[in-house]
Amino acid sequence: MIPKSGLYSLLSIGAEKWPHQIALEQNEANITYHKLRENAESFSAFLSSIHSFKGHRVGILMPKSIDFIESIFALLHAEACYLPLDYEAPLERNLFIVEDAQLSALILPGEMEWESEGRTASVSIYKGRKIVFFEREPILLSPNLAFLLYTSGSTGQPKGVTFSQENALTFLQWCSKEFQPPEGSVFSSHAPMHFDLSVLDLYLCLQSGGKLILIDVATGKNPRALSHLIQEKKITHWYSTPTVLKLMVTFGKLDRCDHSSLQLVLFAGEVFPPEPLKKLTLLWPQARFYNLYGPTETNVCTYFAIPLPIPESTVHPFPIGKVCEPLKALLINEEEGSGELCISGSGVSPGYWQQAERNQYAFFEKYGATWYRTGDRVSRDAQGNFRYEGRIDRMVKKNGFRVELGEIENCLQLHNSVVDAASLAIYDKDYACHIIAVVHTLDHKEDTSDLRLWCQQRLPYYMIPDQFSFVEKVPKTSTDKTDYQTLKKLFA
Amino acid sequence: MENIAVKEELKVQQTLMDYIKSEFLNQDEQLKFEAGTTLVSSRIMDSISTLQLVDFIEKTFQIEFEHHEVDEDNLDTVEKMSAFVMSKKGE
Repeated sequence: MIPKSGLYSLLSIGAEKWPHQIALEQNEANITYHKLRENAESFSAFLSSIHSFKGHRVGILMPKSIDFIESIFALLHAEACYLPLDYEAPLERNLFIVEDAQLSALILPGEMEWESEGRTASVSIYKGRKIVFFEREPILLSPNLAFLLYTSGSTGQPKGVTFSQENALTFLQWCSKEFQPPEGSVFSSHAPMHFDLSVLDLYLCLQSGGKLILIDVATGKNPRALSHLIQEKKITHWYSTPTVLKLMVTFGKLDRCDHSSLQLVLFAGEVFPPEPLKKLTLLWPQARFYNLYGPTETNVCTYFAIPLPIPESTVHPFPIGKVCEPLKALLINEEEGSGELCISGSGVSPGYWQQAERNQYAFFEKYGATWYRTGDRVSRDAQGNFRYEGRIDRMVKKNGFRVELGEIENCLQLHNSVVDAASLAIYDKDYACHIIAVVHTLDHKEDTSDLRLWCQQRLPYYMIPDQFSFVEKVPKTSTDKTDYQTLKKLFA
Repeated sequence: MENIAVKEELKVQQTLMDYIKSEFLNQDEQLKFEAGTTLVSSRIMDSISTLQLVDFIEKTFQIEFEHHEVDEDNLDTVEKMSAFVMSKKGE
C-alpha cells in the first residue's frame, strides 16, 4: 500500500537512512526522520479509517509548523492531493478556494472554527488538529496529482495550478544535481507553504538528509530576527525572495552576527537589484549565490550562478540564465530580439484545475511537446543566457508574489461607492513594485481607510494597493477601455 | 517626578506623530491619526515602513531594539511606541 516511489518515498527512505537525525525544527521543537514518518503514517491511517482519500483533494489551513508537514506526508501517504492554503489570507478567499478545488476535507488547527456555508460537513479531531470532511456529489477524482497551489487570477478569482508527482520529482532531480547539498545541511524554510518556493525547501532538504528550519510569519518579516536565526541555527542553505534579502541588507544589522555557516543562497520571484546584491555577497563572502527563475506552473525553469566577486561596474540585474534540465525553452512572437518564453518538459504543470479555457490559452502543442506560455518576455545574450525583459500581460510581482492587477480591480469594483477603478504597477529605480489603485467614487468621496479595509477583507496582503488615488474619471481609450498608457504617464 | 515623565512621554509621542505623518500617511489618514491609531495591524504601515520607523526611533531616542522587540506589541500605535521608548530609557 505504501507508495514505493514519489514524494512520500523521500520521507520513508530518509527514515531508513537517517532515523535519528532531526528532519524539522521550529523554535525549540523538533522531530526526527523516523518520528516524522511514524506520525505521518498514523495520521494517514486515521484518515483512511474514515474513508479512502486516494485521488481526493485535501486542504491544509494552518500556520507553518511540524504538524503542517506531518499532514502533507500523511496525505501523500494516503495518495491524496494536498492543497496548502494561505493562513494569512482573508476567509472569503479561502472559502472560494475550498469550493473551487472541490476539497473532500480540510485540516485546521484544533481550536479554529469553520463555517462551511450550506455544505454538509462532519468534524473529527486528531492530535490537536481539526479535520472537516465535506460531502460532495459527485466526487471528482484527480489521480496522479500530488499537490495544488493557488495563485492570483486575471479574471478576478485565484486559480489552482496542479502538480503531478513527476513534476516535483523532475524538479528535485535537477536541484540535487545542481546544488548537491551535503548530508546534514541546514535549510531555511522562509516562504509560506502555499508559495512554490517551499517545494524546494522541503523536499530537497529531506531528500539530502538535511534539517529544515521552519520560519513563522512574524520572524520572516523581521530582518534582525532572521539574521539572529541564521547564526543560532547555523543555516547552510537559504532560499527566499530578493525582497527578504534586501531587507536583511538594509535593516538586518548583518555584520553583528556570525553567518559563516551559509554555503548557498538562492533567490527567486523577482528582480534582485545589483546594489544590495553586491553588498550581500560581500557580507557573506563564503557563499555561492543563484538567481532562480520560473512561474509557479514550471517551478524553477532557468538558473544563473552569480559570478563572484560582482564587478563594481555592474549596473544591470543579472540574467535569469539557462534552462534547467530536462526542460526545454522556446521563444514565440519574437520581435526586436525578444520573445515570450515558453517551457516544456516533465517539470511543467499539467494545467489549471478545472479551467479548460485558460488551459487552452496557456498551453499549446508544437514539435511533439506541450509548451507553457510564461507570459514573460525575454531576450538572449551573447553567452546564451536568457534575460528578463518584462511581461506581455498585466501580471506583476510584488515582493515575489504574483499579482494580477485585474484581480485588484475586480475587488474594488464590488465596493458600493466605487463607480470605476483601475490598478497599475510602477517600479522605482530599485525595481521595487508599487501598486496604485485609481478610483472614481460616488460623490467623489475620498476615503482611503475604507477602501483599504475593503481590500484587506478580500485580498491577500501583498495585493492591497500601496496608494489609492481618487480621480474625476478613469481615463478611457476610444474603444472605452481603461487607458493604461495614459495612467502610466500620470503616475510615472 | 511623575509629571516630568508624563511630559517627556508626550514629547516622544509628538516627535513620533510628526515623523509618521510626514513619512507614511496620506491626507485622509493624517486627519484621523491619533496616538491610539493602529498602524501595523491595520496595515497602514507595511513591513518596510515599520523597519524604517525602527531605525528612526533608535537614532532619535538613542535606544536599541532587541531583534525580538521589533514587533506589533511595541510598534502598533504611537502610544505603544512611546511606552517602549520610555521603558528602554529607564533601563
